[in-house]
Amino acid sequence: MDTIPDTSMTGNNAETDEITALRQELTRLRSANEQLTNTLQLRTGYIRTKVNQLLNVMGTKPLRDEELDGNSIVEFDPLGIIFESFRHILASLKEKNSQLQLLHDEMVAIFSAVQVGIMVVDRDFRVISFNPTMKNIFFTGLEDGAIFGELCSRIACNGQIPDEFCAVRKILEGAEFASFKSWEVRGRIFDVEAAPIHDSAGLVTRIVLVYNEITGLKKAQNELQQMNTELELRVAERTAQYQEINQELESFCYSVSHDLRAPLRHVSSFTTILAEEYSNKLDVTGRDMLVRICRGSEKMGRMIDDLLRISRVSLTEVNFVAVNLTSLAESTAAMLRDSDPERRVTFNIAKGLSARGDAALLGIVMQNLIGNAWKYSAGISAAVIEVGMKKIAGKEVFFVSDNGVGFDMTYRDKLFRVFERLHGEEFEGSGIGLATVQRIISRHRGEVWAESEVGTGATFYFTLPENKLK
Amino acid sequence: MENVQTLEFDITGQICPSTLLITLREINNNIAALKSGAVRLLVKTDNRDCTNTIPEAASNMGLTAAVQKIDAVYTILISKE
Repeated sequence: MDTIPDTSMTGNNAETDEITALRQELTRLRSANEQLTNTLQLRTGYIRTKVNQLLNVMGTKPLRDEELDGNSIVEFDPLGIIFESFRHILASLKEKNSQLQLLHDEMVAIFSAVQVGIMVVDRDFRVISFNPTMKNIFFTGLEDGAIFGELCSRIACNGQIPDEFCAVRKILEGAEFASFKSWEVRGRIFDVEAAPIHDSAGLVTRIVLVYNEITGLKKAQNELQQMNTELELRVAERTAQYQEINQELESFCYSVSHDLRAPLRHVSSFTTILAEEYSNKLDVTGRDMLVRICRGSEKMGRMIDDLLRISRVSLTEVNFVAVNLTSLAESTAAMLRDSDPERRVTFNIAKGLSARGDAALLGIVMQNLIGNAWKYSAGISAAVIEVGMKKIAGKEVFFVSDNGVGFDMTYRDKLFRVFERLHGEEFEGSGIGLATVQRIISRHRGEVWAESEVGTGATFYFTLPENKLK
Repeated sequence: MENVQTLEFDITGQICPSTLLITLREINNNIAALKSGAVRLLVKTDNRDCTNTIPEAASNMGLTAAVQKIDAVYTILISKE
């Protein structure tokens, strides 16, 4: 607003001149002010433009005019804030670059030192980089310049891998890992493995191939396999020899036992004649000796019979069929009851016991085990004999138990030996029954063992091939 | 961490780009303490856009930013990486 009064009508020339000068000065100042305002607007406009450009770089919206006017923009100083932030960003990037450089140096050192061949190819199967081991394996005699950019199928695989086995192709088809085991090339064997390198969009840009030479390992494996084969052959030969010798021994035992029976019969029959027709000519001592000779020859006869039986067990072919063990146990129990009707024995025989095996041989097993239970519980007023099956570690285990005299577990190793007995003359027997049981179970590829405590009874366990059809 | 000082500042009601600029100013003022782990910044905002821009800028400066939403307010905790 013009505040200088109009004095032209006053007639005072001096004042008029002064006023005119002031007006001129005012006009000049107004013009200067306008220029300065324009200049300031231009400057703040420039600052605003640059700030907005930088904010755009940082992914945010531009400044709004009403938010920061010309004065505020200078006072708030967004340009300074962003500049300072960029300084920190640059410092951080520099630090990260140093770390990346260190990682790169480490990778290069590993790449150079590792004793497997490593090669990197692009999507067009062209070699981008490789390590010294790779060069030693595949690129000997070639300059590095002749390797870069070459097709890996030509320079490494030599065109020997069909497309369906190519690890690079598998990666390009989407696999995250591909391998080709025991690849033989130029007289050497490799395990080849491949993995992709993706770009930020997830596309495969490069493929890393690792060639692990296993020539020595394979050679050692082959030698080991050959040695194993030879060893198995030798074991088979030795086993066959042992089986043959064993068979011969069994036959020999059978023959000897059989041949011993004839002279023993003579001894026995002449002793009987002697006892019947000449005993009146002998004194008391002589007759006692005669009785002892008779008993001895009878015992020897039983032992020979037992030996013949056990020999037959070994020589007989095992005929595997489904066998009802419950039925075999019940028959044995009935037979024992008939042999001594006065005895009070409780038999608990589980129903449905069955296995695969030779019915006749398993009958002998049942007769021996249940017979032993019957025999060694003879002195018990309420004898109980149990026949059953329980699962141990998922396997069917049959058992025969009694509450008889039992035996000392210290001597359990003697149990299944021929003619070994853990009890004296109070229990009759030749000590061949359990040896026969073990031989039969063994021929069924099963196991037999016993648990006991003196005075509380014994339990005999045995396993057999399972009857899958039951 | 027991000896870390948490500086809180509330910029609810502010929108982009002010939210980013104010946060950047606070980061700049405390950059040394933030980098050493002595200080962390807790920004409270109701402007969803800045939950992307602030963590990205912090990450570029070698810091880490964890965003949480509690009711209608976001908290952005900026601290040493």
